[in-house]
Amino acid sequence: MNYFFGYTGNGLHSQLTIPKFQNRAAPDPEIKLWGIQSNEDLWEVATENVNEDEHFFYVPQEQINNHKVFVLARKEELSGFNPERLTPLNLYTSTLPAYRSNFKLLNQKGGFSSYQSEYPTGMVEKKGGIISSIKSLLNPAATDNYILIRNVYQSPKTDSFNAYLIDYKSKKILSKHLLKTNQTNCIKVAQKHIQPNVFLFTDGYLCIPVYVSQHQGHLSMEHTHPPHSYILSENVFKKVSELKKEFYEIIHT
Amino acid sequence: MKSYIRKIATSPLGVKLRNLTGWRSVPISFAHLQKNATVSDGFIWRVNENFTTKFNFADLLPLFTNSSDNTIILEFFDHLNRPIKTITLENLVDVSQEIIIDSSLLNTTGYGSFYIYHTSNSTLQECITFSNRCYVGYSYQKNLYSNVHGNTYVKSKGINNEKVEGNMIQSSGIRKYQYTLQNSFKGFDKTELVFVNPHNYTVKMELNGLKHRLSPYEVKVIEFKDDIATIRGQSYFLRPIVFNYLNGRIDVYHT
Repeated sequence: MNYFFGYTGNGLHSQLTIPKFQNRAAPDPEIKLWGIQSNEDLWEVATENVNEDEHFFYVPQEQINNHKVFVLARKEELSGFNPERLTPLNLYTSTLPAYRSNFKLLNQKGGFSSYQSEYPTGMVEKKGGIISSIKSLLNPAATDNYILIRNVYQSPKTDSFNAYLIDYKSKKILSKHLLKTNQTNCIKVAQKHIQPNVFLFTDGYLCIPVYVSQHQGHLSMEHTHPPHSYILSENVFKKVSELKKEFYEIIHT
Repeated sequence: MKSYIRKIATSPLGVKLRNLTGWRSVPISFAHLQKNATVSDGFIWRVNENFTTKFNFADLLPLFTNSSDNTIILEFFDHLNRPIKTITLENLVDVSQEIIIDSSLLNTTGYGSFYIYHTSNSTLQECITFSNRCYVGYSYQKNLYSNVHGNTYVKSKGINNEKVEGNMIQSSGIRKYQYTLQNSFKGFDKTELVFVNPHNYTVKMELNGLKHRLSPYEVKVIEFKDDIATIRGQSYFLRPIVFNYLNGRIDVYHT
């Protein structure tokens, strides 16, 4: 089951186009859109009234905040909803290729950028850390550079964890940022840190990092992959743990 | 017994038979690749009076192996897979790298594909097969690059040799696969869907019922005017890159 999310802040807002159909099948006429958000340490689910047509739900900026996630489920599947732990309600969005919504980011000057986005259940159930090279997607020539860091974790209780910008070659921490679970966090990245050996590293929770650049009213947004998606051989977890170990050593020195 | 059957079913011949018959088909397989290999997506370059392309990639081999004499090879082709240029990068110091792909680099304009491979003369302590997904940025009318990551495994090269292999994306001899892109294309001035054929053979496909033929590794730009895009064909993954145009701005993303 996949979760869908957006972002608002720093003069940016978002819209989601969430398909009702699997990428190899017709739409399910019974499927509904639900918003899930933590409130006083419990998950709450509510129906989302948005514009829709035969194929899509269109979630406007007014219904998007940095906490809520959206899911697709039939009404009767809500009987399996657990306020104390986020668990899959169905397998409708567990497809290959991945079931994705369009996450479009917009600014006040008409700029827009989007990507096909999802937060998979597999990441909700695990803790860990992510490593991501920041120079690959941020643009030092742009006016603004941000990293949106989305976490969705099964517990509704908000927890704090740290993200670091680390120079991998000099083994130095350039900056440290406090993040929250179950939130789309945002880091504004200084131009001086957009360097070829600088990585984003999170300690404690998995996240999806989404890189945003803004310049002269134009926007660019794209997400990065976790390192294990680069390795196709069976030693993937060993190789990734070896790399992560190097980063843990830097932050704990 | 079970593990023996599994071994046969996941072997290159087993995968071929499963996909030929459509029984428990396998969309992507690396079973036929050599043990030490890099897999490249089919990246797309666009260069003309409106477009410049930027390629961001990481020198991954030192991050995952003991290799210290790494070389990165970038191979550029035109839209019909005819070679244009090969660039060899050695003794790289930084992890993240960037090149601008323009007419002065390629000595041509238009569009086509390019591939990234990592090679080394070192004997690796442990076998590894990896893919560098990388990021391609497209600047339209000299504005901010709109970035997209690699999305379709197309070619592979040995880390310690020159052998090139393809066909990680599988196809069926019998079944036709349908894939509907999960976004609406309403409300734009123009939409282009850009395909790269991930096979070393010609494939046929239908886009909303219109027939198209893609020669081996061909890149095709199709202007698209409908709201919803459905692709049908024998290839499992013919997933285009989308270029949406609105008010002089572009949004590029993978599907």
